[in-house]
Amino acid sequence: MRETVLLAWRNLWRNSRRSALTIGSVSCGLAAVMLGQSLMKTIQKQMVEKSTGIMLGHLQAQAKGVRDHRVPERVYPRPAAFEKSLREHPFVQAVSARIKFTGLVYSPQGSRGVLVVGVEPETEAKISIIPGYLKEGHYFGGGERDLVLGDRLAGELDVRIGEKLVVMAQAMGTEMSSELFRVAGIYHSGSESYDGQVVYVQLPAAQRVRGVPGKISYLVAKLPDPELVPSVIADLGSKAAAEGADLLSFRKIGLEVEAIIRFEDAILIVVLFIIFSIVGLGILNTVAMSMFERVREFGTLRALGARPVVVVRMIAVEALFLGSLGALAGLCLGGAIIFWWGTTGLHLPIGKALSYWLPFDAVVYLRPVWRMHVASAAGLVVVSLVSAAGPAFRAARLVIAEALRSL
Amino acid sequence: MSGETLIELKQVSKVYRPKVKAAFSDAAPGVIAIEKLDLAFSKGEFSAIAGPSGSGKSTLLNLIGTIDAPTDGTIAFRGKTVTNLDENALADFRLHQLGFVFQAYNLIPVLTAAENVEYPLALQGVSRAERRARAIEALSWVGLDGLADRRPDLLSGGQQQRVAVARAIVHRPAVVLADEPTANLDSKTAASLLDMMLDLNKKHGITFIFSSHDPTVLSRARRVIHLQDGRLQ
Ligand SMILES: Nc1ncnc2c1ncn2[C@@H]1O[C@H](COP(=O)(O)OP(=O)(O)OP(=O)(O)O)[C@@H](O)[C@H]1O
Ligand SMILES: [Mg+2]
Repeated sequence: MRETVLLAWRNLWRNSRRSALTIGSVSCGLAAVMLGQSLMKTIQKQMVEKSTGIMLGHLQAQAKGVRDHRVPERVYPRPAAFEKSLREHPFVQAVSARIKFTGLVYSPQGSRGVLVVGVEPETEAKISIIPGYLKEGHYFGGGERDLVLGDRLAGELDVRIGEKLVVMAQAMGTEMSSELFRVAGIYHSGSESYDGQVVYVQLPAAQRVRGVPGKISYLVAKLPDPELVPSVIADLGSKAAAEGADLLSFRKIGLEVEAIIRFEDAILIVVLFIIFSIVGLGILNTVAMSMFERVREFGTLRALGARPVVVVRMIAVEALFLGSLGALAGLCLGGAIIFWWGTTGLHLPIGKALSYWLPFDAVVYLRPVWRMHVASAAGLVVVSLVSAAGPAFRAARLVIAEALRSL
Repeated sequence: MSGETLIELKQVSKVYRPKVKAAFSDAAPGVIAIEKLDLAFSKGEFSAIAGPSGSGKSTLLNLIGTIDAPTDGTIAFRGKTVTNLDENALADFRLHQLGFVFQAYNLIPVLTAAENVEYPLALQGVSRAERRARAIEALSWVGLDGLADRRPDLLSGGQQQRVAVARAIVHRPAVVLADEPTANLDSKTAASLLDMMLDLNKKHGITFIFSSHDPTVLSRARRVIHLQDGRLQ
């Protein structure tokens, strides 16, 4: 085996330009795959961060039987015992209650249909990223009738900090009800729908407008890491059920985010497949060429008493060298590019594309996803081995006397 | 020393069929390179196969060397038939019983002279230290002391062929088969290579079977087998 490795290694550098080119193409392929993985995962991570931060939270406890999880059509009394357990769960950073319904806002200059969100400012501020987008005024704190809205909506209604607005909605009974609010804060998130279609008021006021005092649409919780969601659901799901609530992951509520993530993952797999095929063909070409150039040598080795498997092994080891050197170089190259764009940031127009429904940073900072990168590198090594199988078995089956006649 | 029958060919034929498997290939019968040959070689021989170009010398050596299969007939080595062995068994047979010297030397270009000579021993699983010692010894037998670490491309044709001979004898095979070993060498170098082979035969009892169509080379052989159109003359 030592001789096989030695021979393979030296043979690799006989045509050093060709081998270097192949290794280069493997490494570029891997770097491209890594870049794609890092980009997609960085974008996905931000989408999850933004969507959970702006509205979804990581977990929601909604009334059982709710059909529209985004704007639950049912309200229910706070599940007190469950809420206590949720707050005390080691993975849970913050818990808050919300009521959510559609309504109208009026100013002297006009009216708009909006989503009204009743929040508990103190705990809400630990969950929501809206306070961070505030550009004028305060995130509540003035009084019971404070209202926070986006700059786009404020512009359309032509209201400024301190000015009054009427929020009107259908109370849970039948009749319309309305209440006067004062603009306490104006934010700019960059998302058209949040900046133009959502108003935040305090929970008791919202409950009054909706005519359901003491009731909420859901409890929302924030965890340090979205990956922890399933374990919290496993721990507390039955407790929530005992109080008529359904404990839901953000993935179940933000179906668009989930769909986009799935779509991106699918694209990634297609790209992976294409790049692996190209790299595989490149290695096949290199191995086949070097095999055809050395037919007489294989004949010689076989004549001297090498079993067919020795020849197969030699070619396999050569391909393994090509693949693993390429994978190693690719990990370095891809890592360097990701590190570079992780430090300087990458300007992406994707923020604009998503901005209708989600705020998104204009510059993304790429992060490596080593688990995926290393798996791809290992995949490439396997691909190189598979590509070499054809030429290797052909070389092993040569008729020795004929191989020796070849030039 | 001599006397024991090493190799025995019985009714051996080799027909080369055309490679192109066209519809009319039935019509083309193929070339009969060796026809119903009966032949035996004994231990300690220093024998030459002679004959004009195309008479079947290479084919015969290939068949004896089990690097090509006869179309018909059997070849036995020390009484055991080898023509029915599988690829692995044949490889092992060659590895332990045969040595090869080729017209074009066929050294592995990425290996040094010593590494080339060591190769059959490596295949046999001989330890590195012993391998190296035996390779150096074989190189000195062929008069190449001091060139152990040279790559083939830095050796002359004569030197390369000596390395090839060292590689063919290093594992003490029963027979060394050499197809036109001197054809690529000038007459002086050819003569000294032949001297060396004869020396190895005498001193170490190595059996040689080689082919040539050069009368001066053939004159050194103790036995000459004349081939004509694939038959003994
Ligand atoms: N691989 C092959 N395919 C078809 N025909 C072949 C093949 N090898 C040899 N022959 C034919 O078989 C016959 C014997 O060839 P062989 O090479 O054994 O002769 P040779 O005596 O070694 O000739 P030379 O002195 O030119 O080397 C020739 O007619 C040759 O054309
Ligand atoms: Mg010939």
